[in-house]
Parts: sequence; C-alpha cells; structure tokens
Amino acid sequence: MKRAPLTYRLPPWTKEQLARIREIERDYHVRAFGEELARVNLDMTKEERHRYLAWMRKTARAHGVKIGRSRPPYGDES
Amino acid sequence: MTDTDQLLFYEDLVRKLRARGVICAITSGLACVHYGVAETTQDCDLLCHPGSFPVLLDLLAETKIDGQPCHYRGNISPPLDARWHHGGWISHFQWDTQPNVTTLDVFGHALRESSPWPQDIFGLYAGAHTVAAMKRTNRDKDWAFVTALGVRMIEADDERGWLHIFEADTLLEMLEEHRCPRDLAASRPALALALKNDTQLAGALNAERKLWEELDRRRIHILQHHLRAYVSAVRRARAGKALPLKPEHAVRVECAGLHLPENPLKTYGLQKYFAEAKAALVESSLVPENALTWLPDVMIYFEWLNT
Repeated sequence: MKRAPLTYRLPPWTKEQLARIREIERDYHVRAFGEELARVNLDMTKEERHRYLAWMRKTARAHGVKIGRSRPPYGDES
Repeated sequence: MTDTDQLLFYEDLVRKLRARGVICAITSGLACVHYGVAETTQDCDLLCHPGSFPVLLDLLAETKIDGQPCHYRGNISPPLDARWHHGGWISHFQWDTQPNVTTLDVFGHALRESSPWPQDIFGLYAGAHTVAAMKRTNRDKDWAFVTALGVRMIEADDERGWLHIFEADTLLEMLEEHRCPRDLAASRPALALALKNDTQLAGALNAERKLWEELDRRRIHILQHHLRAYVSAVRRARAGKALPLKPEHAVRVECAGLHLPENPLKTYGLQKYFAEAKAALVESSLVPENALTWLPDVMIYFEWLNT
C-alpha cells in the first residue's frame, strides 16, 4: 500500500477489477499532471512524495522562482 | 524549519488538539498529498469544530516555533470566533519562521460541505469527500485534484466519488467497470448523461464546473466587499503595534462586531446568489442557456449556512 487508505473497509473488487481501476486512474493522472507527477502520486509513499515536493520547491527557488505563501482568497489587505 | 518539520508540526498540532478533546482535521493541499495527489502547497488548512475555538486559541497562543509566536496574518483575518465561522469566514494565522513563514488557515465549516465534515474524518485528515468539495474553487489548478480524489474514492468503494469526477473520458471508463447508484445519478444530471453515453456529457461537466467557479468567484467578491470596513478598523485599532495573540483576538472580535456581517452569503440571499451566477454564465457565453438544465441543485452544499 503506497497511499493512505480512504476507508477501513476492504473494497469488494476482484484483482482484475482493481487493476482496471488503477489503469484508468493512471491514465487520468498522466493526462492531468504529466508522467512524472503520475509516478509521484501513484508509486511513491507519502514520505517520498513530501520529499519529492520539497526537492521541487528547493530546485524552483534555486532557479529564481518565487514560491510565496498563498494569500487569503479575498486578496491583500490593502 | 524544514518542509518535513513543518508537516510534522501540523500533524502534531492536530494530535495536541485532539488530546484536549477538540474535533479537528487537516484538509486541502496537505490532505491531497496524504491521499496521493501531489500539491506543492506548504500552507496548512485546518478544520476545527467552532465549539472548540477557545481551546485552539489557547494552544496557538502558547505555541512558538523557533521562538516565534503565533499571530493573525495582517489586518485581513476575521477573528477565530464561531459567530463568523458559522457564516463561512476563515481565520488566518502565521508564525514568522525562517526561511519561510509557517501559516495556518482555520475553517469552522468546510466550504461547500454537503454533510458535516466531522462525520468524514480519516486519521489526522479530513475525508476525501470533504477535501474534494473544498477544491471546487475558481482556481484552474484545483480541478484536476477533484477528479483524482473522486477516482480514488470509487476505488475505495466510496460511492460519493461519482460526484467528484469532472473529466468525461475518466467518468465513462469508470462507468464501464462499476455501477453508479441511481440516487447519485438523479442528483447530478451529468451522471445521468454519462449513463446514457450521451454526447452532451462533456458540455454538461463543463457547465457544472463553470458554475462552481462562478459561485466561488462571487462568494469571494461578496466577502471582499464586507471586509473593507473591517480591515480599516483593525488597522486603526492596532495602530501599527504587534499585539500578543489574545489581545489581538479581542481587538478583532470588537472590530468584527461593528463592521463584519456574520453571514454575508445568507444575508445576500442564497437563491439570488445561485441565480446570478447562472445568469452570468449565460451572459458571458461560457455556458449555453440550454445547458442550465444539466446543472445540479447546489443548495445542499450551502445548507449549512442556514443552520
């Protein structure tokens, strides 16, 4: 189990059904996020995912990308 | 404080609150990462039962990070007070840590919650159903997370996942493998179209998404409008001084009592708010008029504002 569970129950799917859901899911992640992030999402543990994201932020900053904290959605206070 | 330290800090905060009897859970971006959808955010959004706000405020007041105390973010944050949170306001906190500040946004209610969020907690995190509803924003990037969470929910045999899939191909592929309950299809016209393999499905999903985006945009606009007088009052009252958290809180409660309506969306009129959002979609040609019949009844996502 690579990802945090969403339920305490065991899903009723057969091995084949589960494999098909995961195939659909992977296809979606590749389309929506790209191949690299699909691997991050589906193949890494939570700790690995957080480490990857920390590396992404560090690399972005090293290349001059400003990564600030998000402001409240209703904007600046000024 | 490293990124890893920050995550551990947030999870530890939830554990400490629960040890004091507080119902709370981490939601939004960090919950997405937890459930297997990477988001680069470092901000922590916390759902906390409004009845426990005094306990949370006590804990924040006594919690320092690297010697830095917690304070409200700028002048804009509404107070951590149940009266305003029952109306959909959010409180924003910050620790001035290095190299990046540590932030905490507190929600008494999950935005767009169709059932009380405390019924949908898993471990230290809000349930995927709550997280996906909160992601129905006017930010383009959030929508891929909504569908990804919906698929994971179905994979975990949580039928509510069908309400969160906004991509036609994925929805049709999932329907080939699994049954969608009739009551869910009845509550979401796009699902009914998908079950019939109707070619209008993509248009219906697009219309539904555009409605949520417009509702979020208008919600923010209404809140923004009411914040102006409050922000000015807080600025005057603080007079540039940095107060400790509790006196600062007292100032905000006083200013909010004078200038911040408790439930601005309800006062505006929820039906009026929905109708105007739909009309704006048609007027701007984002959605054709005949597509309005494909939109779900969104009232269940705002019912909590009436209770």
